[in-house]
Amino acid sequence: MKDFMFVFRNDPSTLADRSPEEMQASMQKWMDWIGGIAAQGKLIDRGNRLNPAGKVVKPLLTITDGPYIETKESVGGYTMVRAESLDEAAEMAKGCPILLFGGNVEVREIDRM
Amino acid sequence: MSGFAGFMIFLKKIKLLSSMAPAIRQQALKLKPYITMKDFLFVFRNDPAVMAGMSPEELQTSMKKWMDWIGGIAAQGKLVDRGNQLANEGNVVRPAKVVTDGPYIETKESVGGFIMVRAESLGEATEMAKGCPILSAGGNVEVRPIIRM
Repeated sequence: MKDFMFVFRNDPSTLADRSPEEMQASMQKWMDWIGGIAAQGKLIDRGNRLNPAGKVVKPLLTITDGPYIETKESVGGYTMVRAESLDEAAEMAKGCPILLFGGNVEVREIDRM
Repeated sequence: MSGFAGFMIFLKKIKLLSSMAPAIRQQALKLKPYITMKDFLFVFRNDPAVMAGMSPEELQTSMKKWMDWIGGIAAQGKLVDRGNQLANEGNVVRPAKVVTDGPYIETKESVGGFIMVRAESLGEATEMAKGCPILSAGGNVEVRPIIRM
């Protein structure tokens, strides 16, 4: 088994527009999805959500405010899972609720140092 | 008489406590950063071709610079998670469950790894990121506050 990182990208404004009921329904979907991965013993680190605020430090120590690139594809969080292969990890990512809200999941194998 | 003795003990306790006050205060000040500090994720982006083009000596020098930088953060007690490097290959799963091969967007700004640090503010975390060796190889560091769930 190998370890993989799921990088979640979405448009932060879609979250801001939601009603408390929608937020709760969405949270429930996330918990179900992550709970399902955990139930298979394949969740390594449930990860974290990232605050939309942020800065980017570039060569020559230039600093730009705000998260990276277009806000429509800002990194919103990450999770770490265990799978046999990149394909199996990508299959697991297909259940992620972010896909229902126009977001996407990047699946990357971890190089242990 | 026993009431008086009790009172004297009480007075001694007060005296002992007040003599300890500066030490307690000092301890509280030492702990303050751990109470007020926040966690931040550093997301490293670079062109994977830069690393692939390095000689073994260059790789070793680069690794040493990373270790020095991360070691410096750890020495201040501000390293929460040394994170991981990500392999170059990868997939992106999009809505309608379309899977595309390869890491995200242009390979010149692919996510190469991450670490987690602790700092008083986004400004302090950003200052810490300025020491990252990726900056001398054309890469960049995104600094993001963590939302604990």
